[in-house]
Order: sequence, then C-alpha cells, then structure tokens
Amino acid sequence: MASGNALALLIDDSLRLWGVDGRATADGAGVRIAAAGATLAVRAADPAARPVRWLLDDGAGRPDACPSVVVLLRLLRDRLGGDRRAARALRVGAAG
Amino acid sequence: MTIPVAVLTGFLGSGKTTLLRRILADPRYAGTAVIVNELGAVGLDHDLVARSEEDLVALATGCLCCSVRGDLVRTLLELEARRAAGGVPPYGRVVIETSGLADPAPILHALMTDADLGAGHALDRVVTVVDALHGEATLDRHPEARRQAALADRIVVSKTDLAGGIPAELAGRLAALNPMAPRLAAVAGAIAPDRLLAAGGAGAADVGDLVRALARAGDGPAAGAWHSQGIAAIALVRDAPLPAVALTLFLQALAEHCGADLLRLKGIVALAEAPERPVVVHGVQHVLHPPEWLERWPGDDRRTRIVVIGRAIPGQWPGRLLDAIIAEVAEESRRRGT
Repeated sequence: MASGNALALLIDDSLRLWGVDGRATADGAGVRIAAAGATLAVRAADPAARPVRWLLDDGAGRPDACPSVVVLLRLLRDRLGGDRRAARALRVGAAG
Repeated sequence: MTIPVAVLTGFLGSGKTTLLRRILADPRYAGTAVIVNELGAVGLDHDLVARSEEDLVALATGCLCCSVRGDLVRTLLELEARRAAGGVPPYGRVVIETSGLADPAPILHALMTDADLGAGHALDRVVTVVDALHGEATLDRHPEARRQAALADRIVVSKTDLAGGIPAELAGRLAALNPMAPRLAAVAGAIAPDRLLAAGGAGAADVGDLVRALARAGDGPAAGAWHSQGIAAIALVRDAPLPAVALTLFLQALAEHCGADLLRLKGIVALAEAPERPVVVHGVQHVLHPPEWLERWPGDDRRTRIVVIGRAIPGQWPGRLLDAIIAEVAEESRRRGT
C-alpha cells in the first residue's frame, strides 16, 4: 500500500490534473487535502478491515470506505468537482 | 482478408497530397484505395491525387474528424461492398488523407472500435507530414498540428530540399511532442512507402521504435519526460513484471482521469503471469487496441516500458499512480496467499 507521503504526492498531482485549486499534504499515515473550499482527510484503514484500504473523511458524517487508490481518486474527483475533463471509460477496440 | 487502413495527416500545405501521389506511383502500392477528405464544397486534392476514379473517394462534406462516425464508416463499408461486387478494382490497402485541420483521434477511434469495420479492416499506421520550412511556426500557432504530430506513428518531414534537411529546432520540437515516432525526411514526397506503411496493425510492428525511443530515455522509475507547449511525453520503466490486474487498473485510471487529454499510449509490458511473452499495449486516448502478445522479447531488455503522451498531465502522475496500484495489488496478493 502506498505510504502517506507517496499518496499525498499522487493526490497533489491529481488535483493539478483535474484542474482543482488545492494542496494535499502527508499527515502521518494519511493525507490532508485542502481544495475547492473543503478540507478532507484520507486515512489508512485498519488492516483487519480489508478489503477496505482507505477512508475518505469530510468531517460531516461516516467516512467513505475505499478498497483501492483507484476508487479513492474517483471519489475525490467527484467530491472536489474535478470534472474539467469528462471521465471516459477505457475501451478496447475490435480485433482486426 | 483484413485490409490495413492508414491515416495520412498533416497541417494545411504540409505536402500530404504530394506524398500520397508518390506512394500511389509505387507499383507495390498499386492496390490502394484512397479516401480524400477536403474542407469546402469544391475539392481540389483528389484531382491532384486521382489515378483512376474507381478507387478514389472524396469526402467533401467537411472536416473528416467532425463527421467520421457517419461518413468514414459508411464510405469504407460501401467501398468494400463495391469491391466485393466487382464495382471497383480489387484493393488490399486503404489510405485516408485527412483535411489539414483534422484531429486524427476520432478517425482512429472509428477505425479501432466500429464493429462492422473491425471485421475486415485494421488500423495501420498514422503518418503525419510536417513541413520543414514552416513546420515549427505551424506547431507554435496551431494546436491541431501539435495533436497530429503527437498521434503519429511516423512523421515525414517534407520539403527538406528547400530547408537543407530537417532543421534541428524542428527535430527537437517533434521529438518532444512524440519521441516514439521515427522522423523521416522527404524530398518532393520521395520516400520509400514501406518505411511509412505497415503490413497490418502497427502495434507489434512498431515495438522496435518504442524500444529505441525508450532506450534514449534512460533508467529510473520515471525514466523521462519531454514537453512541448503543454503536451508531454512521459516514459515509465519498471524492472519487475506487473500483475495483469495492475496493468488493467492503471490503464482504466489513465482513461478515466485524463479523458481526451490522453493522446497516445504505447508500451511493451512484462506481465507477472507470463513474463516470457511481452504484451504490446497501444492506444489512442481512451481506446486501446486489443493487447498483442509477442512470442518473445525483441532484445535483452525485459523491463516494462510505457510511453504516455498527453496534454497537461503532471509528469510524475502516471508513475505515482502505477506504483500505488502495484503496491495495493501486491498487498492483496499477500493477503490472499496467492
């Protein structure tokens, strides 16, 4: 699993990719995100909670459970309004 | 029989039609059907190209990339039907010459994904023509020209007789936009067509180009990145074979988060499940060709090497994403004892 620092760097890059003004910084084993007028926290889940790996917490209710960094990024983008680029599903072409 | 379909693109006045005429003059390419797309109601280029009306189709309805789903697919299928009925001479190859302002990506998507076309056609290479005299200024001014270069499998630099070769500045710009595509000099369109067109799908055929481009990138987790006016080519090199699920998740996430700004992706990948047989991945934006398994590695270097060409993609982002996914997949494998 990515360390808090590696995850912070990935999320910080992701904010730029999505065109969201903000910063992500490592916070222990997790990440603190200040972006789009919101503050979010990502915490590593207890290993006993697998397949949950990450918890995304906006401080307003129960944190969202994420089984992977891929799901975490999707949730974050949705929360932060990073829809500058229309999301596209991967498609595999027809065999010629 | 699968018919290779090559896409010939390049900005206005770059020399596409001259190059096409030279290709068609080569006896080895006599069985080539040509689809010419022209902007405006009065087509000129097809009059310059035409050898016989039977095997040339002009689309003068506007920019091909804007109407590709309807016009191009219908045209190719109608052409095939006419060939089958004996209405046009037999042909074994199609070349689509785009208008100078076309974005090739929608054309490539149609060729890669249309189920009806897929049964009888395979995307060949994308050949982009760049003018040695004005190419650099054109790249500066026109984003369409940058996209055409970024999407190319081969870049032909035309009018090199007038410019005294390929200007170093232009070569540098093109290398930054697309380090994977070989750059070939043409004088009045003179270039061996077999250096431009492949026998079939270009993915596996171009592994050598990819390997050479990445050899120039050096080593390390983020092997290299080239930048030119917002378009970056980012190289990833990984020593350890990737679990197949990690590669799948990575490609899905690239498509999901980069959208239309992911221009091109090519890679040769060592999969943990079959490390002796590399997989070639090859895509345009969010659309991938079906992966191709090679029988063996093309050389001694058995590392995974992937190049991502995109617009405004942070240089470290793909590598950081890939590493995070690999780490999670490894942890999940340990957890399951697999």
